Amino acid sequence: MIFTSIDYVVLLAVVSVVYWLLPWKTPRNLLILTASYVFYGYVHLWFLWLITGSIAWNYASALGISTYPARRRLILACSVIGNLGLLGAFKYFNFFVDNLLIVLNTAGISAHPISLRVWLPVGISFFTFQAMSYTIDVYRGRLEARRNLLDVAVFVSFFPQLVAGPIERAPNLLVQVERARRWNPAQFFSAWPLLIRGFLKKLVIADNVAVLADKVFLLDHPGLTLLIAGTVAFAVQILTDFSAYTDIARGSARLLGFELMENFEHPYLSVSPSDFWRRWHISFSTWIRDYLYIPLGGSHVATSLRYLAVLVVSMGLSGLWHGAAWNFVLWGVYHALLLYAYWSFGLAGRWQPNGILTTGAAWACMSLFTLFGWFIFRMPSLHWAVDAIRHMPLGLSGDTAVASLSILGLVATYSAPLWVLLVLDKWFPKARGWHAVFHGAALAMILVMLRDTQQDFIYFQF
Amino acid sequence: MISAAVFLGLCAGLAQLTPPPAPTPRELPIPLGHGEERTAAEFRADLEANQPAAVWVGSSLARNADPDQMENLVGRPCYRIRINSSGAAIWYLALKSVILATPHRPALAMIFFIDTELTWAAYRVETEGQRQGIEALKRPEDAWLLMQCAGYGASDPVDYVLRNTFSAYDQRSYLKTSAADAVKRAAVRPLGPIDNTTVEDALGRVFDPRLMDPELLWALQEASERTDEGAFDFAQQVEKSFLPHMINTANAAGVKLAFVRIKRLRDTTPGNQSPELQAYVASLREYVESRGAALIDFSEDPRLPRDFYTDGDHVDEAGRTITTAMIAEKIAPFFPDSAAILSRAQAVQAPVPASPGSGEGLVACQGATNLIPNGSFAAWKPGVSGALPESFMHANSEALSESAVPSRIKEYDGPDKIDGVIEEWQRPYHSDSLFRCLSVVVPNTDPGKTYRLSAVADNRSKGFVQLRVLEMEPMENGNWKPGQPIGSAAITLSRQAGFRRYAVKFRVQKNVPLLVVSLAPPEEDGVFPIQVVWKEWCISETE
Repeated sequence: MIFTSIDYVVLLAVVSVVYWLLPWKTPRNLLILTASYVFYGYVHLWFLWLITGSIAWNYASALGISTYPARRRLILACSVIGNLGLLGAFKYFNFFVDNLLIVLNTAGISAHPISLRVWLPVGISFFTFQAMSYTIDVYRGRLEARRNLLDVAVFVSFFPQLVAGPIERAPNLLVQVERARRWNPAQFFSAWPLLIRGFLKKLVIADNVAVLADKVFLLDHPGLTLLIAGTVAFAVQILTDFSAYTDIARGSARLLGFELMENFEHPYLSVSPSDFWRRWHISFSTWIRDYLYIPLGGSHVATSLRYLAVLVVSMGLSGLWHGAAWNFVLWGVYHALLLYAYWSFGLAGRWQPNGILTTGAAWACMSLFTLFGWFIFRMPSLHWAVDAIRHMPLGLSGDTAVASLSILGLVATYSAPLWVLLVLDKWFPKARGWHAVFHGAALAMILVMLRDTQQDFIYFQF
Repeated sequence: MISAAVFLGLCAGLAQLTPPPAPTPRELPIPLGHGEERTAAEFRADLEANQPAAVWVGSSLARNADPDQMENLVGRPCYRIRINSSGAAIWYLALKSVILATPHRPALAMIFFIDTELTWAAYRVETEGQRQGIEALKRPEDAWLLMQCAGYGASDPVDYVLRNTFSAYDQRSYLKTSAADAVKRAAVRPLGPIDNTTVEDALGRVFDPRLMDPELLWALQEASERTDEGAFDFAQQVEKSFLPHMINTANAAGVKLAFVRIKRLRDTTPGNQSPELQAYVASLREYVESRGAALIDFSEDPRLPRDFYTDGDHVDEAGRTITTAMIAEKIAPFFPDSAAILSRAQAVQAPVPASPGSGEGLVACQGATNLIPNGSFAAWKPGVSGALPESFMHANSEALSESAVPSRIKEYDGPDKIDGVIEEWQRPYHSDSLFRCLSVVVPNTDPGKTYRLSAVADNRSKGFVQLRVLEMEPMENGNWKPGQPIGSAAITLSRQAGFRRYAVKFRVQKNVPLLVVSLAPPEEDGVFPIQVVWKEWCISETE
């Protein structure tokens, strides 16, 4: 079930009303669990086996770690292997087999291709990482293992953020699940602006801009200007698509009395790679930082080379998390190299430029780097990119120029509400009247601009 | 409260932007068959008048076969009913209420479809145009079947409320298109005063499917189609589809029914059809053949290669020629003189694929009125600035705007000895002017008729060159002046692509002379001089 379907609106409306009519925490949690199972099993019932398995596995692992402290390391290893095995089987099996075959064939060893026709369960990476964080936190002693299966199940399968995040941690979400929740009108009504923003970003901006980006990346040899226009379109698409999901997730959760973490903080205002990763997909980047980068020694490396290795592994794997393809890995490694280059020049961590000119230059540089990163992320294949670049015309005149300018004009127009939002949020956060005007206009735009055919959220595939 | 007020105010304001008048409910919304904007009654009248032996109905894909060519191959009148964006519900209704509702019964009725469309009953019954099509064709007794199979009539309550509460929602297609057109026009302003048609044409050429990676194109197309597991379960889908009703209706009327499965771009790569789809088609064949109908499937015929496709499903003129011949081959057994039909169909040779960017594909100049004597510039070039035949007027001394600098034309004397003229534009004086020199006036055109403009040319520069057709406007002194360009009549020459034949169709609305003109909008300095070698300009009347 997707957020922008009428089915979801009905589900959310029914659950929100019935939920607050129920007097106690346990029936409310039962209702959320039921709604989450309806939400996730809506397209394929067998998806429910996966999520049930993930809940049971991590619940048992955490309890095992807590009950048998002497074997906690072994239990954690089994738990992680189980979680990653689930991901490997459903998301990466064909990728690994295909690449293994290439290696074997290159080495002159003949091997028969094996391919599984697996339907990738939506959001498997999100709920697997969320469940893993619970077990790892219990292992690290930051959290007590929970005995209430219902609470753990609601934490792992909480439908507003089940398939595209934010990837919540147990100390935030599980604690809220366990707590008695009271009707809070301020929280309830603060959900609506988030929902409107989410629908605006998805239905008005992302879905319309996606068509433009898709067209460019379908071409065999787009010219340089067209490629730039297409990449800009994709940059807007991926930000609005993904942050729309987060907004709707946060708004939906607020209707039920939950507060989910913020996932984006104007990432295209970044002035350095570290800054970018503090603003982009925050729940995922902090997950990678806490459970991969720091354990690998990234925060206290002895040598420059080791730091580079830690970055490449962390970011390469985070790229692979996005999908079973080499361009995602390359995108991760590219960001690792960017982080390393900035670190080498003393521009890592919390570095901020001084003065308007320096800030402008830093922002412009980082924007170009980010755009090139999105090009790597979006390119259909490495082969396509090499071929397209090798035969790339400039496209400064004629049809290509007309097409490029048209795309850029449309992207600028579609993304105009983002600029208004930025100004309102950053400089007029308390101007409630103007915010109300914006949300009224946003509703009208949604009504007029929504496409007849809607697209899935990009991050569903991750 | 503020949000609500802004929302309602904007909706009311947007609703004031009036879209063009919608077709009346009794009018099929789409250009159909030989003519355009025909009602169901007009259709029936056409069928009765033409007495066709073979009739086919389909969506825009019905245009993948040409009725005139089919008529020549089959040796009998043929008729096409094209209803764009239609699905099985409309095809069933068209079969029942148009083809089989006339006293004349064709020997063969065909329904064009792709993949699983025949058993996808709820496909294409939602939009305004589709609803109008259904309303125009359905009879009271069809209501229950439409509801049962396609859920038609049980409308989406949210859509219903929005449509009836906010006019802006109902007009969103018009509002979006108008806004997007305005944005594109403004965005390309740095390149010169380019109208929307030119922008759309340029976008069409840049995003020509033949310039796209076929695998990626197909993946995108497939992602937007029905791919759920149930779609390929023929036994399950057929029960709640219009397919049994189509067959029963045709059988009861004594008309042979054939389902024509259109070959898709995907199918030009062997082995691209999924096992599920292959199993579905096998079940479909067994089902229709066991009930006296036929399935025509040429999806694996190699005579229709990728070059003929203008997108994932539609073919160009050349593709239409070969598709028509392939269908004629398959339907030959349904007629007594099958051997003759087969022989004629097999004699059709696959034409040379059109080059990307030419829009209409390869169009011969046969039967055309040549704008230039003898179809080429050969007879004219000795007096390039001299007289043309009586029916034409050479207008190269009149600039389109005061600041325009005309191009120069001279006989081509290049080393390749091409029989033509070369036109050259030098650096412009003013960046906002258009330049033309080579132009002719066609005095006698009939309103409502469709014409085809074609040219053979080589744009040897990096510049942007177009052929446009303008309607002349009468002046008080009895003379004429260039007026508005006809939107669809624009040919843009591919840059540095060698000699190519370009063609475009356009419709004349008024009984006024037409001015055919070559244009080179201002561009950056690097592209000048712009040089084009012309071999031919032709204009011809089409169907």
